Amino acid sequence: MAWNNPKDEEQGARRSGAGGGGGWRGFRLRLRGQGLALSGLGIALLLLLIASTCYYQVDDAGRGVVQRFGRLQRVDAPGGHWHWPWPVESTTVVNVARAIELPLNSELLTSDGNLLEVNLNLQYLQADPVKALFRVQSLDAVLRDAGHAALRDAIARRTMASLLTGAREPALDEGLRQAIQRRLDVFDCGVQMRSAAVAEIRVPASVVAAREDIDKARQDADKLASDARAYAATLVPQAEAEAQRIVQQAGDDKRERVAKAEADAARLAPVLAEYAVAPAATRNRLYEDTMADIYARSRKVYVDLKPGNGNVVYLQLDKLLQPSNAAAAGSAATGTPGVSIESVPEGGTHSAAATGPAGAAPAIGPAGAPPANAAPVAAPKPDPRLADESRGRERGVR
Amino acid sequence: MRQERLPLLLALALLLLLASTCVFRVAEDQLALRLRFGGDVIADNYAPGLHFKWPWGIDEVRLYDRRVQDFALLAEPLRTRDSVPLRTDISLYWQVTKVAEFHRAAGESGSAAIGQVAQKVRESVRAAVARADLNGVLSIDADRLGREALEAARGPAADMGVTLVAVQLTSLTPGEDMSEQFAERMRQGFTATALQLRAGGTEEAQKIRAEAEAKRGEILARAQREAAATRGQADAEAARIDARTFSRNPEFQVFWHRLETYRRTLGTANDVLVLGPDNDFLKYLRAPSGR
Repeated sequence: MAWNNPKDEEQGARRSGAGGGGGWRGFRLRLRGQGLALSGLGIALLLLLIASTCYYQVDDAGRGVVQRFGRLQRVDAPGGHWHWPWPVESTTVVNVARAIELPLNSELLTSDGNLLEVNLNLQYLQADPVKALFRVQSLDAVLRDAGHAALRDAIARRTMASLLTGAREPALDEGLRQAIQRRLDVFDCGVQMRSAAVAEIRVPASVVAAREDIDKARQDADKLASDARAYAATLVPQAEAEAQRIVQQAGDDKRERVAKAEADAARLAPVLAEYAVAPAATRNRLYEDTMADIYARSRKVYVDLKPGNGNVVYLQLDKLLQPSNAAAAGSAATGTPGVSIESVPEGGTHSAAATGPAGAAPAIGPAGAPPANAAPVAAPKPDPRLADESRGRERGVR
Repeated sequence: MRQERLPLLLALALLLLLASTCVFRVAEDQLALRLRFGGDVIADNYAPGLHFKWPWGIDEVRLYDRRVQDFALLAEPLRTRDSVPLRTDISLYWQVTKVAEFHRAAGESGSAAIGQVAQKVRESVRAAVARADLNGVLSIDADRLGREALEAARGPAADMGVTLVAVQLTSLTPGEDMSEQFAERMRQGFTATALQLRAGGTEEAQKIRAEAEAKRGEILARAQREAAATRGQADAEAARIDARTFSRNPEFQVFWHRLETYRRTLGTANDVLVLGPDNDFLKYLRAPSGR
């Protein structure tokens, strides 16, 4: 309501003038009562009083609009000035240089039919004091209406989403300023829009919760993505490490393989030399070594079965093979040649023999039993050469 | 002495009072009208300043504001073509330009008489809004709407000696109890957006994971390829060494390696050898001659 300020000043000036008049009357009555002796002094005081209403100050930001009998007389620059006393002249000081602020608050519909509350701050100058005083009845109302109308228009041209994003288009403010100025120009009221600034845009209180859920959803989405990114960030290096391990393993395997091939070649060199001298003997020797090794380490079943003698031997191969796993560990560990038919636990206990089909088949001896006559024999094969041969085998493996 | 002077003074004061009614002041923002005997308009084109008239009882002066004034139509109910109730505030700016006509039309009621003009504006706006659906109303050109309303009211205003300066649509909001429906619509919109955002996040996360896994697969596949190539080289190298070793005795190479294989595959505790009677290995078991 800055518009009213000059008016108030004017009215204040008028009031003080009237007060001067009252004082004058009282003074005069008193003069009457005390005679004319003091009349000269009284008149002087009266003149002084009137003169004091003739002087006025215009501040730096203001202009003094002087009316003589209501007619515009002149516009005074800042400083001290004289004018004729009431009722001849009166002066209204209008602020022309200081921007006047006008905050507006409005509820508006966007182009997509959403309701928003907007705070708009206006700053304007009463650039032309004469027009500002005499063109419109209420400058404040004109500015409010122009601001609201321009704002309504601008908001109705935009979607809610574009208005609510954090970074608002700077063109909005400048566009508003120009639109308001254009509306004011219709009135030719001497007002110059300094700025229009949208201070705040918010959704109505009743939908704030739903609106906030969007922010939360955005955070949720970000979280999902960042979790995935973290997963990816660990997955790829892991894969690279794994890949490196695979490649390295292959390299190691290769070196090992080649080294072994070279070792084999080195081991073979004397054998080949010997072979060149005595091929047959070398071959036989090698063959025997190998066979000895194989027989020494395997379980054996000897079946004396001549074609046509009428006997049928029933060998339960699955039973034979069954204990192999259990026995294998033991026999491999102890180095004892496990020789059995029925499931024979390690150590040669015979408990399993009772469960076997002992009656049906030709006698099946448990390990360690002496071979029975004319019967299929399963016998341990204590091998005196065992030590040598296993050494030889180990050599062969190497 | 005083009693002689008193009537004189009284007459003088009366004369001064009468003289003061012969003078009137028209301010810069005023229009004046001189009426003879309170009725006929004698003069109406007074510039601002001091003017004279016949004294009290003969001439009478009326002063009117010549500035632009506003007349507000607040919270006017409107209805769009699709029956959405809206509310609007309209400001009508007007100015007295022909003071005699305004005096005749408005008389003592003064600016309140402008209500008739405002009625025209109201009807014009209401009709324009009723022609469009909600979206149409929202995208309406308020300036044009104002101009049209101004045109519609120009005639009646001119009859009153009034010039219309501007019609401004300062507000257009949901009317009656529509605010809650608008709010509900907004809530739905926000909820949909939130859902969309969350779905988008899930989708992106899946994409990132899938990409990472694809990359991992690619890295591992490349490593496997490289490893396979390395192993192939190893095979080749080993074969080359082997071939060089046995270069003069290919048959012996087969023999040697076959023995190795026997040893490796047969010579384990898992194997059960079923030996027939004709087994060559046992021939010395049967007889020293071997037969």
